Order: sequence, then structure tokens, then C-alpha cells
Amino acid sequence: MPEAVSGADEQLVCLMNQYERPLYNFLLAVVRNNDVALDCAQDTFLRAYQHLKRGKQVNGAWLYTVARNRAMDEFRQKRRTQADPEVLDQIPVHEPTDHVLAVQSILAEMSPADREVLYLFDVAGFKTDEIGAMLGVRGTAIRQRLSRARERFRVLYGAEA
Amino acid sequence: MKQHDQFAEMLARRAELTPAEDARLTEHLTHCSQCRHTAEAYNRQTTLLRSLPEVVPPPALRATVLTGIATPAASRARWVFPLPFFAPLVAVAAALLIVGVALLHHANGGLHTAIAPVASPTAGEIVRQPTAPPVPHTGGSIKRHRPTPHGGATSVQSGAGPRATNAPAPTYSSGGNVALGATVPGPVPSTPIGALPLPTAISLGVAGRVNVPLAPTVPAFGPVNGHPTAVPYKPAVPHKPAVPLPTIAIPPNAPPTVAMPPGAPAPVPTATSGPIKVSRVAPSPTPTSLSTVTPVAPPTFGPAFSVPATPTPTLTAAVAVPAPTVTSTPPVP
Repeated sequence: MPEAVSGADEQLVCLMNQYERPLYNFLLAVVRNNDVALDCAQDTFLRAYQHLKRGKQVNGAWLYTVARNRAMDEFRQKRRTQADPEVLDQIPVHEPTDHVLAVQSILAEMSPADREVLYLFDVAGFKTDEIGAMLGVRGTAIRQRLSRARERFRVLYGAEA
Repeated sequence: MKQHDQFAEMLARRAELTPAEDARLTEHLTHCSQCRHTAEAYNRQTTLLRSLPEVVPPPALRATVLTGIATPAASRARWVFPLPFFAPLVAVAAALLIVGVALLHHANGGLHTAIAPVASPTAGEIVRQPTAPPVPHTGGSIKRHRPTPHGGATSVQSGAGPRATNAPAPTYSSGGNVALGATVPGPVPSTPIGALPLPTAISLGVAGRVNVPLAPTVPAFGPVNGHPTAVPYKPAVPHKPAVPLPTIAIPPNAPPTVAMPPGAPAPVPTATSGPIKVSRVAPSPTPTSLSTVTPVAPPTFGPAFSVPATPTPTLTAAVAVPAPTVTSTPPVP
């Protein structure tokens, strides 16, 4: 077992090297809160470690699924995801340009479901069927949600412009 | 309009379209200005989202994760031990422990006793044989009675070996789950280990020093992190905090006295309390030594066990299931 544990340690470090930043940014885009994103990311990697210790495989899709479910738990419990007018100030942006602030504002106005599907498709690069597998819904539902999210983004961006 | 919706849906996921689908969409865009505007808007969205600056995770993320895997207890905090699965095992172990300790006391004290678990872990009751007058007691009632043969639950009776004294053999009954004396029906595996007054508190030697818990005990089983256990604890009376064990001192040739610690609340016997009975079946001048214990019934609550043999007499325990009994045979002359 020590060898397995050691292997799990190494695999976890590799996963963190590869997915720590994108996963944290995904969570940040969804939950819009630094502390919540941090907690969700930590729980995700700790669960990944337990998964690895049992000899199971962990990939990017698994990490995004666990992270997304963890974020949805936060929304369901509404613990720290209440509407905050200063939420944009909590997002650390190194060089806040106009378009960055505009996009952040649009994302803040969108629903978490729309945000996550947009981010997973456009930024994380998952296909709609993969996102459906992550979220436990059919790919057709994800395609409809993605189309709706894009229209919502389009309207909000037009208003921002 | 329906066609535009279909192409809008394809535009929304254009990055994953098959070459055939993309060719069909491109062909449509050549003569549909509305869809061309939509395509431009969606392309802009993708560009904007991908151009968002990546946020560097705080160092606390990695530090906390690495610390968490270094301390497994923290990462396993949410895991709940499947107690209901092991509850029967624990109950069986408890029953074996009780029988074993009681047999050990038999070997040491030489008393004819019977052990049986009682279903209800309620308030204590002390019952004595009528050969000795009741001892005044501030708490539980003390009576005497003659042991009568009972069927059912576990019973361990030593052989009719000689006694070192002819003192009246008192029979005690307490509200715990161990009955010494007359057997009381009750399944052994269902006895919560925590509800058992430890047999070490009942010491019936020749000197007759008896420590009987007079307050109901709380079983060790209970909701663990909100998970109910397989052995629910339903006290017949409201739970009271444990009190120090009173000491009942029984001189060899005198009526036993019950000494209660000062300030200890008096136990109130209830009709629902399961009596724990400690009885002496017959006077025996010398202590009965336990030589062998042979389970004759399928020991569902544990494997067979034996005690190192001594010359005489022989004690044979019979364990019956579902109403296990452990009986002894008279000593071999």
C-alpha cells in the first residue's frame, strides 16, 4: 500500500501541475467568489487523491465534474454565493481592460448553468457530449443550453456595448 | 425560422461540428445574413472568453491539498464507519465477553450462577433469596427468591460442588443486561455492549462482595454522525447520568448489606426494567472451579472457547441459538 499511496501522491502532483490553474479559473468563473473557488478546488483535488489511492483513474473530465458538482453544492446551500455587488472586485485581474471588465460583468449576470457550459465549451475545450456526461444530462440538452447561453451573452454584450 | 434555430444551434457549437455539418453550415451562411451576424457574435464571444486573463491560484490551494494528503485523518473526516454492518459482530463479541467474564468469576468465586442478558437496559433492581431478610436500601429494592429453572436465554450453571461456607446464598438482580441467577429470556446478540453492567462489578466470591450498578447505563451504540446503528437504544426510562457504583458487601454468614455512596441517587425500579438476577443455586463449601466449557449448539455469536482445565469439577456450557444456553454439568467426582 505504501507504493500505491506514493503513486497516488505523484499522480496528484501531476494533476495539480496540469489542472490547478484551469480548474481554479473555471470555478472562479462559475462561483464568482475567490474563497468558494478555493475551497471547491481543494476539495476536488483531495477527492481526486482518495480516488487515486483506491487505484482508480482521474482525468480532466473527472476533475471538472467533481469541481462543478462541488460548486453546485455551494449554490444549492447558498452559503457563500449570495449576490454581492462587489463580486467583480473579488476577481483578481492583473490587467483589467475594458473588454475584460465587460466580460466579467456579463458572466456575473448570467446564470451559473450558462456560465459553466460556456466556459467548459469555449475555454476548457470540452465537447457538448463530454459536458453532458459531466453534468449528467444528454448532449442535446447541453447543446440547447449552450445555444441559449450564447444568445444571453450576445444580448448582454450588446447592452454593455 | 425553424431552420435558423437549427443553424444557430450549430453555430453555437461550431468548434465540434463534423466536416459535413460545417460544410452545410458554411453553405447556409453564404446566403443568410442573419446567421452570418449570429456567427460573428458567437465568434466574438469565444474570443472574449478565451482572452480572459488566467488567474493564478493562490498558493494556499496547493499547500492545503498537500497538507491534506499528508494527514489522512483530515481527508477521511467525512467517511463514516459502517457501524450497522459491524453491529451484530460487536453484539456477539459483547455476549462472548460477558459469558467469558462471568465464567471467570465462576471459577474464582465458586458460585452457582446463571447468566443471561436482559433485553431492557433499565434501572436496577436487586432481588435476594428469601433466606435472608431484605436489606434496607435507599435505592433499589432488595429481595430474596429461590432460583427457578428458566428456559431460553443463556444460562451458565456451575456444578454442585462443595462450598466453603454455608452462608445464605443471595440472589441479586440488577437492571443491567446481565442476569446472574435465574435466566431471563433475551437474545444474546442483541445486547448492546454499552448497556451491559460490567460483570466485574458483580463479584460473588465467598466473601460476598457485590458491586451492582444501580443506574441505567447508556449503550455504546448510538447515532454516529447521524447514522442510526443496527441496535437502537430505546431506554424505558429517561436517561440519568451515571452514578458511582454502590457496593453491596455480603459477609459470609450474615445478611448482606448494601452500601451506597453518599449523594448517589436512588435507583427506581421500573416495571419494564429487565431484572438482572444473581443467584446461588445451592450452598457449596468450596468454590467450584471451571475446567472446560464446551459449546454444544451452533455458536452464532462466536467460536468455541475453553478454559484451562483444573482437576475437578467439570463445567460444561451449552450455547443454544436463537435462545442460547450455557449449562453446566455437575462436577465429576
